[in-house]
Amino acid sequence: MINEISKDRLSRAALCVVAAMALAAAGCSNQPTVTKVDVNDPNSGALTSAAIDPQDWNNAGAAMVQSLLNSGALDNAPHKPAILVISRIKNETSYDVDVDLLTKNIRIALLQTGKVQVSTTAGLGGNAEDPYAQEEAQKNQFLNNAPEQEHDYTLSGKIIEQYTHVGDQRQHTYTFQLSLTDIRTGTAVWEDQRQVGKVISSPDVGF
Amino acid sequence: MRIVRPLLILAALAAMGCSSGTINTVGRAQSEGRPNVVADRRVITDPGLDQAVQPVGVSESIVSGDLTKIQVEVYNTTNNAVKFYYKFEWYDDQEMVVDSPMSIWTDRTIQAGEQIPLVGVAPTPNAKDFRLKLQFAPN
Repeated sequence: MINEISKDRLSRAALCVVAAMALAAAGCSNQPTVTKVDVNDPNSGALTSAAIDPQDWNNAGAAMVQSLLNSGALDNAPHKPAILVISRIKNETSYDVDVDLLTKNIRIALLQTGKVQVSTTAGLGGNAEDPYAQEEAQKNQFLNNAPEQEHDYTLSGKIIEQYTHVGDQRQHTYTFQLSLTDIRTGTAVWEDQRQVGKVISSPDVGF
Repeated sequence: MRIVRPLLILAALAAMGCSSGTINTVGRAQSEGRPNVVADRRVITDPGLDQAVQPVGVSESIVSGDLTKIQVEVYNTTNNAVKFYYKFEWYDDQEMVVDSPMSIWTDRTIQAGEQIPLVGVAPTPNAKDFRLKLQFAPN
Protein backbone atom coordinates (compact mmCIF):
# COMPACT_ATOMS: atom_id res chain seq x y z
CA MET A 1 0.00 0.00 0.00
CA ILE A 2 2.77 2.42 0.97
CA ASN A 3 4.67 1.53 -2.22
CA GLU A 4 1.61 2.26 -4.36
CA ILE A 5 1.10 5.69 -2.70
CA SER A 6 4.80 6.55 -3.23
CA LYS A 7 4.67 5.56 -6.90
CA ASP A 8 1.59 7.73 -7.40
CA ARG A 9 3.32 10.76 -5.81
CA LEU A 10 6.46 10.19 -7.86
CA SER A 11 4.57 10.05 -11.14
CA ARG A 12 2.62 13.24 -10.26
CA ALA A 13 5.85 14.99 -9.29
CA ALA A 14 7.49 13.89 -12.54
CA LEU A 15 4.52 15.16 -14.48
CA CYS A 16 4.79 18.56 -12.76
CA VAL A 17 8.51 18.75 -13.56
CA VAL A 18 7.92 17.91 -17.23
CA ALA A 19 5.10 20.46 -17.47
CA ALA A 20 7.27 23.14 -15.88
CA MET A 21 10.13 22.41 -18.31
CA ALA A 22 7.75 22.59 -21.28
CA LEU A 23 6.45 25.98 -20.14
CA ALA A 24 9.99 27.27 -19.62
CA ALA A 25 11.01 26.10 -23.12
CA ALA A 26 7.99 27.81 -24.64
CA GLY A 27 8.83 31.02 -22.81
CA CYS A 28 12.51 30.88 -23.90
CA SER A 29 11.63 30.34 -27.58
CA ASN A 30 9.73 33.68 -27.58
CA GLN A 31 12.81 35.59 -26.48
CA PRO A 32 14.24 37.84 -29.21
CA THR A 33 17.70 37.00 -30.50
CA VAL A 34 20.27 39.75 -30.61
CA THR A 35 23.23 39.71 -32.96
CA LYS A 36 26.02 42.24 -32.82
CA VAL A 37 26.85 43.73 -36.22
CA ASP A 38 29.52 46.03 -37.58
CA VAL A 39 27.56 48.65 -39.53
CA ASN A 40 30.64 49.33 -41.66
CA ASP A 41 31.10 45.70 -42.68
CA PRO A 42 28.80 44.67 -45.58
CA ASN A 43 29.08 41.02 -44.53
CA SER A 44 28.05 41.54 -40.93
CA GLY A 45 24.32 41.40 -41.59
CA ALA A 46 23.62 45.04 -40.80
CA LEU A 47 20.10 45.95 -41.89
CA THR A 48 19.11 48.25 -44.72
CA SER A 49 15.93 50.21 -44.17
CA ALA A 50 13.94 52.86 -45.99
CA ALA A 51 15.42 55.48 -43.69
CA ILE A 52 18.97 56.80 -43.52
CA ASP A 53 21.02 53.95 -42.09
CA PRO A 54 24.33 54.28 -40.23
CA GLN A 55 26.12 53.04 -43.35
CA ASP A 56 24.56 55.90 -45.34
CA TRP A 57 25.64 58.56 -42.86
CA ASN A 58 29.17 57.14 -42.77
CA ASN A 59 29.48 56.87 -46.54
CA ALA A 60 28.13 60.35 -47.19
CA GLY A 61 30.44 61.86 -44.59
CA ALA A 62 33.50 60.04 -45.92
CA ALA A 63 32.75 61.03 -49.51
CA MET A 64 32.25 64.67 -48.61
CA VAL A 65 35.46 64.90 -46.60
CA GLN A 66 37.33 63.43 -49.55
CA SER A 67 35.70 65.96 -51.84
CA LEU A 68 36.70 68.84 -49.55
CA LEU A 69 40.31 67.67 -49.30
CA ASN A 70 40.44 67.11 -53.07
CA SER A 71 39.24 70.64 -53.74
CA GLY A 72 42.16 72.38 -52.03
CA ALA A 73 39.70 74.86 -50.50
CA LEU A 74 41.61 74.79 -47.21
CA ASP A 75 44.93 75.66 -48.84
CA ASN A 76 44.35 79.42 -48.48
CA ALA A 77 43.09 79.39 -44.89
CA PRO A 78 44.19 82.48 -42.91
CA HIS A 79 45.21 80.26 -40.00
CA LYS A 80 46.87 76.89 -40.08
CA PRO A 81 45.05 74.91 -38.87
CA ALA A 82 41.90 76.69 -39.97
CA ILE A 83 39.19 77.28 -37.37
CA LEU A 84 35.81 75.91 -38.38
CA VAL A 85 32.42 76.62 -36.80
CA ILE A 86 29.50 74.32 -37.41
CA SER A 87 26.56 76.41 -38.51
CA ARG A 88 23.01 75.41 -39.39
CA ILE A 89 22.50 72.00 -40.96
CA LYS A 90 18.81 71.61 -41.58
CA ASN A 91 17.01 68.31 -41.47
CA GLU A 92 14.27 68.34 -44.10
CA THR A 93 13.47 64.65 -43.94
CA SER A 94 10.44 63.01 -42.38
CA TYR A 95 12.65 61.47 -39.71
CA ASP A 96 13.79 63.02 -36.47
CA VAL A 97 17.55 62.65 -37.01
CA ASP A 98 20.56 64.13 -35.30
CA VAL A 99 22.68 65.79 -38.00
CA ASP A 100 25.77 65.10 -35.88
CA LEU A 101 25.57 61.66 -37.47
CA LEU A 102 26.84 63.38 -40.60
CA THR A 103 29.06 66.09 -39.19
CA LYS A 104 30.91 64.22 -36.47
CA ASN A 105 32.76 61.88 -38.82
CA ILE A 106 33.60 64.87 -41.01
CA ARG A 107 35.01 66.72 -38.02
CA ILE A 108 37.07 63.72 -36.91
CA ALA A 109 38.52 63.23 -40.39
CA LEU A 110 39.34 66.93 -40.84
CA LEU A 111 40.98 67.14 -37.42
CA GLN A 112 43.10 64.10 -38.29
CA THR A 113 44.49 65.86 -41.35
CA GLY A 114 45.84 68.62 -39.13
CA LYS A 115 44.31 71.24 -41.43
CA VAL A 116 41.17 72.07 -39.46
CA GLN A 117 40.16 72.53 -35.85
CA VAL A 118 36.49 72.80 -34.96
CA SER A 119 35.41 75.39 -32.43
CA THR A 120 33.39 73.91 -29.59
CA THR A 121 32.86 77.30 -27.95
CA ALA A 122 31.13 79.01 -30.85
CA GLY A 123 27.88 78.07 -32.48
CA LEU A 124 24.68 79.32 -34.06
CA GLY A 125 22.92 81.80 -31.80
CA GLY A 126 25.79 81.68 -29.34
CA ASN A 127 24.97 78.07 -28.46
CA ALA A 128 28.26 76.32 -27.86
CA GLU A 129 28.77 72.58 -28.09
CA ASP A 130 30.79 72.86 -24.87
CA PRO A 131 29.14 75.49 -22.63
CA TYR A 132 31.74 75.13 -19.87
CA ALA A 133 34.63 75.69 -22.28
CA GLN A 134 32.72 78.69 -23.66
CA GLU A 135 32.34 80.18 -20.17
CA GLU A 136 36.02 79.67 -19.41
CA ALA A 137 37.04 81.21 -22.72
CA GLN A 138 34.84 84.25 -22.04
CA LYS A 139 36.25 84.56 -18.52
CA ASN A 140 39.77 84.41 -19.90
CA GLN A 141 38.97 87.13 -22.42
CA PHE A 142 37.47 89.37 -19.73
CA LEU A 143 40.04 88.84 -16.98
CA ASN A 144 43.22 88.47 -19.03
CA ASN A 145 42.26 90.50 -22.08
CA ALA A 146 42.81 87.39 -24.17
CA PRO A 147 41.96 87.83 -27.85
CA GLU A 148 38.66 86.46 -29.06
CA GLN A 149 39.01 83.30 -31.07
CA GLU A 150 39.03 84.07 -34.79
CA HIS A 151 37.01 81.82 -37.00
CA ASP A 152 37.89 81.14 -40.62
CA TYR A 153 35.13 78.97 -42.01
CA THR A 154 31.60 77.79 -41.28
CA LEU A 155 30.00 74.53 -42.35
CA SER A 156 26.32 74.63 -43.20
CA GLY A 157 23.94 72.45 -45.15
CA LYS A 158 20.77 70.53 -45.52
CA ILE A 159 19.47 66.97 -45.67
CA ILE A 160 16.52 66.56 -48.02
CA GLU A 161 14.16 63.66 -48.58
CA GLN A 162 12.32 63.02 -51.83
CA TYR A 163 9.66 60.39 -52.30
CA THR A 164 8.67 58.67 -55.56
CA HIS A 165 5.92 56.10 -55.98
CA VAL A 166 5.45 53.92 -59.09
CA GLY A 167 3.07 50.96 -58.93
CA ASP A 168 3.93 48.89 -55.92
CA GLN A 169 7.43 50.35 -55.63
CA ARG A 170 8.51 53.34 -53.57
CA GLN A 171 11.79 55.21 -53.76
CA HIS A 172 13.19 57.41 -51.00
CA THR A 173 16.08 59.63 -52.07
CA TYR A 174 18.12 61.39 -49.41
CA THR A 175 20.28 64.31 -50.52
CA PHE A 176 23.10 65.54 -48.31
CA GLN A 177 24.22 69.11 -49.08
CA LEU A 178 27.13 70.90 -47.41
CA SER A 179 28.81 74.26 -47.98
CA LEU A 180 32.07 75.64 -46.56
CA THR A 181 31.87 79.42 -46.24
CA ASP A 182 34.87 81.72 -45.92
CA ILE A 183 33.82 84.11 -43.13
CA ARG A 184 36.04 86.93 -44.48
CA THR A 185 34.22 87.04 -47.79
CA GLY A 186 30.87 85.45 -46.96
CA THR A 187 31.18 83.17 -49.97
CA ALA A 188 31.20 79.40 -50.30
CA VAL A 189 34.66 78.06 -51.15
CA TRP A 190 33.52 74.46 -51.31
CA GLU A 191 30.19 72.77 -51.86
CA ASP A 192 29.16 69.18 -52.33
CA GLN A 193 26.05 67.07 -52.65
CA ARG A 194 25.62 63.31 -52.24
CA GLN A 195 22.54 61.19 -52.75
CA VAL A 196 21.37 57.86 -51.39
CA GLY A 197 18.38 56.14 -52.98
CA LYS A 198 16.31 53.35 -51.45
CA VAL A 199 13.75 51.37 -53.44
CA ILE A 200 11.12 49.51 -51.46
CA SER A 201 9.01 46.86 -53.16
CA SER A 202 6.95 45.93 -50.14
CA PRO A 203 5.94 47.69 -46.93
CA ASP A 204 9.02 48.40 -44.86
CA VAL A 205 9.59 49.63 -41.38
CA GLY A 206 11.87 52.67 -41.18
CA PHE A 207 13.24 53.33 -37.68
CA MET B 1 13.62 28.85 -95.84
CA ARG B 2 10.52 31.05 -95.52
CA ILE B 3 10.43 30.48 -91.79
CA VAL B 4 14.19 30.84 -91.24
CA ARG B 5 14.34 34.62 -91.72
CA PRO B 6 11.51 35.41 -89.27
CA LEU B 7 13.07 33.00 -86.78
CA LEU B 8 16.43 34.73 -87.12
CA ILE B 9 14.81 38.13 -86.58
CA LEU B 10 12.98 36.82 -83.51
CA ALA B 11 16.21 35.35 -82.14
CA ALA B 12 18.04 38.66 -82.64
CA LEU B 13 15.26 40.58 -80.89
CA ALA B 14 15.30 38.11 -78.01
CA ALA B 15 19.08 38.43 -77.67
CA MET B 16 18.79 42.25 -77.52
CA GLY B 17 16.23 42.00 -74.75
CA CYS B 18 18.27 39.50 -72.72
CA SER B 19 21.80 40.97 -73.01
CA SER B 20 23.32 43.04 -70.21
CA GLY B 21 24.12 46.60 -71.37
CA THR B 22 27.82 47.30 -71.84
CA ILE B 23 29.61 50.62 -71.81
CA ASN B 24 31.11 52.28 -74.85
CA THR B 25 33.59 55.06 -74.20
CA VAL B 26 35.08 57.94 -76.20
CA GLY B 27 38.13 59.97 -75.23
CA ARG B 28 41.19 61.72 -76.65
CA ALA B 29 43.24 59.60 -79.03
CA GLN B 30 46.38 60.87 -77.29
CA SER B 31 45.86 61.60 -73.63
CA GLU B 32 47.24 64.95 -72.52
CA GLY B 33 47.36 63.91 -68.88
CA ARG B 34 50.65 62.76 -67.37
CA PRO B 35 49.72 60.46 -64.49
CA ASN B 36 52.22 59.68 -61.79
CA VAL B 37 52.03 55.89 -62.08
CA VAL B 38 52.56 53.76 -58.98
CA ALA B 39 53.94 50.21 -59.16
CA ASP B 40 51.55 47.98 -57.23
CA ARG B 41 51.59 44.63 -55.49
CA ARG B 42 48.48 42.41 -55.68
CA VAL B 43 47.14 39.53 -53.67
CA ILE B 44 44.38 37.73 -55.59
CA THR B 45 42.30 35.27 -53.58
CA ASP B 46 39.17 35.47 -55.72
CA PRO B 47 39.89 35.08 -59.47
CA GLY B 48 36.25 35.78 -60.31
CA LEU B 49 36.37 39.11 -58.51
CA ASP B 50 39.64 39.92 -60.28
CA GLN B 51 37.88 39.49 -63.64
CA ALA B 52 34.91 41.59 -62.62
CA VAL B 53 36.86 44.37 -60.92
CA GLN B 54 40.30 44.16 -62.44
CA PRO B 55 42.85 46.81 -61.43
CA VAL B 56 44.43 48.17 -64.60
CA GLY B 57 46.43 51.08 -63.24
CA VAL B 58 47.37 52.98 -60.10
CA SER B 59 48.35 56.64 -60.05
CA GLU B 60 49.19 59.12 -57.32
CA SER B 61 48.95 62.82 -56.71
CA ILE B 62 49.05 65.28 -53.80
CA VAL B 63 46.00 67.25 -52.65
CA SER B 64 45.51 69.96 -50.03
CA GLY B 65 49.25 70.57 -50.05
CA ASP B 66 50.46 67.34 -48.47
CA LEU B 67 47.87 64.57 -48.58
CA THR B 68 48.49 61.59 -50.84
CA LYS B 69 45.67 60.79 -53.24
CA ILE B 70 45.53 57.43 -54.93
CA GLN B 71 43.43 56.56 -57.96
CA VAL B 72 43.02 52.92 -58.97
CA GLU B 73 41.40 52.28 -62.34
CA VAL B 74 39.38 49.06 -62.40
CA TYR B 75 37.85 47.33 -65.39
CA ASN B 76 35.00 44.83 -65.66
CA THR B 77 36.07 42.16 -68.16
CA THR B 78 32.87 40.15 -67.75
CA ASN B 79 29.57 40.47 -69.62
CA ASN B 80 27.55 41.38 -66.55
CA ALA B 81 27.17 44.37 -64.28
CA VAL B 82 28.77 43.70 -60.92
CA LYS B 83 28.11 45.23 -57.53
CA PHE B 84 31.12 45.30 -55.24
CA TYR B 85 32.56 47.01 -52.18
CA TYR B 86 35.93 48.71 -51.83
CA LYS B 87 37.90 50.22 -48.98
CA PHE B 88 41.18 52.13 -48.77
CA GLU B 89 43.33 51.47 -45.73
CA TRP B 90 46.28 53.74 -45.00
CA TYR B 91 49.64 53.15 -43.30
CA ASP B 92 52.11 55.65 -41.90
CA ASP B 93 55.88 55.76 -42.36
CA GLN B 94 56.26 53.01 -39.77
CA GLU B 95 53.73 50.81 -41.55
CA MET B 96 51.20 51.31 -38.75
CA VAL B 97 47.59 51.52 -39.84
CA VAL B 98 46.01 54.98 -39.61
CA ASP B 99 42.41 54.57 -38.53
CA SER B 100 40.05 57.03 -40.16
CA PRO B 101 36.31 57.63 -40.72
CA MET B 102 37.20 57.67 -44.43
CA SER B 103 38.41 54.04 -44.31
CA ILE B 104 35.03 52.36 -44.72
CA TRP B 105 33.53 49.92 -47.17
CA THR B 106 31.86 51.77 -50.04
CA ASP B 107 29.56 50.12 -52.58
CA ARG B 108 29.81 50.64 -56.33
CA THR B 109 28.37 49.05 -59.43
CA ILE B 110 30.52 48.53 -62.51
CA GLN B 111 28.85 47.76 -65.83
CA ALA B 112 30.11 45.15 -68.28
CA GLY B 113 33.07 46.51 -70.18
CA GLU B 114 33.27 49.62 -68.00
CA GLN B 115 36.38 51.16 -66.48
CA ILE B 116 35.92 53.32 -63.39
CA PRO B 117 38.28 55.07 -60.97
CA LEU B 118 38.36 54.26 -57.27
CA VAL B 119 39.81 57.18 -55.34
CA GLY B 120 41.22 57.41 -51.84
CA VAL B 121 42.73 60.37 -50.00
CA ALA B 122 45.14 59.80 -47.13
CA PRO B 123 43.82 60.79 -43.69
CA THR B 124 47.12 62.33 -42.55
CA PRO B 125 50.18 63.80 -44.30
CA ASN B 126 52.43 60.96 -43.12
CA ALA B 127 50.10 58.23 -44.45
CA LYS B 128 51.82 57.30 -47.70
CA ASP B 129 51.19 53.59 -48.13
CA PHE B 130 47.78 52.21 -48.86
CA ARG B 131 45.93 48.96 -49.32
CA LEU B 132 42.83 48.81 -51.52
CA LYS B 133 40.50 45.98 -50.53
CA LEU B 134 37.81 44.67 -52.86
CA GLN B 135 34.97 42.21 -52.35
CA PHE B 136 31.77 41.19 -54.08
CA ALA B 137 28.60 42.64 -52.58
CA PRO B 138 26.84 40.00 -50.48
CA ASN B 139 23.62 38.63 -52.03
